[in-house]
Amino acid sequence: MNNKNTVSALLSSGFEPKNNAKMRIKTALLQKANTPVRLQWALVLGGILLLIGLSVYKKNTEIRYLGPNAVYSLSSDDLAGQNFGESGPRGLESNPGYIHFQ
Amino acid sequence: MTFDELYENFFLRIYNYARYHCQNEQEAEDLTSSIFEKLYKKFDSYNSGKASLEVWVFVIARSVSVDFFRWRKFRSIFSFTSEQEETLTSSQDNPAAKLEQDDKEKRLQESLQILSQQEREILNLHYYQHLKQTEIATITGLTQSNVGVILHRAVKKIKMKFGKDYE
Repeated sequence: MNNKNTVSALLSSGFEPKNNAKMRIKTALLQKANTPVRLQWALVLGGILLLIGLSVYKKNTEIRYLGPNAVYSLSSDDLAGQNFGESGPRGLESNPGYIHFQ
Repeated sequence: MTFDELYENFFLRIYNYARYHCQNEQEAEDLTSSIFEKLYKKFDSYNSGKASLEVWVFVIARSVSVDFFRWRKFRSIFSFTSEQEETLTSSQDNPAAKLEQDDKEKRLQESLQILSQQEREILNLHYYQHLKQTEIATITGLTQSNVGVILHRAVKKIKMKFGKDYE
């Protein structure tokens, strides 16, 4: 058998799509085409705003270091019902606390 | 021609164009989907005076696939599915035909794996899509003689690897 003809036949044979790929791709295409462009952009923008909001929220709940003269203390509300070992900034792991300067 | 007609006429061709580039069916389906999305958006801009429909379709297909593979590495970081997934075939009621088809596809996949992306693309456009070398040159941006040389070398590589299996 001529090798070149066989290679040609091999390359011409191609692949068969599986699992109703043709129907699935067409359905997805039509769904996307029918979704208004504005809605698509709205979803993207909403996602970005959500990420920014989460990032700001996280930053605001972090303990901030305000310099060597700042003294971190706990309010009486925080102390009520809590069981603390040592006092000081370490106790703020579960309570952000209040800050006052000496 | 309506877009529906274009989809029906070109689906298998575009799927194989994508499959020749991709390692697996899932990726080929993603690429096929992306290509048809672009074709849908640009459908009204087709001008039959500038190029044949085939050339226009494959110029767009090529442009989409270049972007697709540029982002493949990025997508693979977020992918949780296996690259080699077992899929059902459409000819489950004819096991002999299924075996023959699977065998052919396996050989074809093995042949393509030894080739570069460019070689695979040109082989697909020539042998599967039955495009002329001038048309392939227009689609790929290469010269006609370059296309001929790449074709010849790619076929030679396959013959060297698999030629003895056909004796």
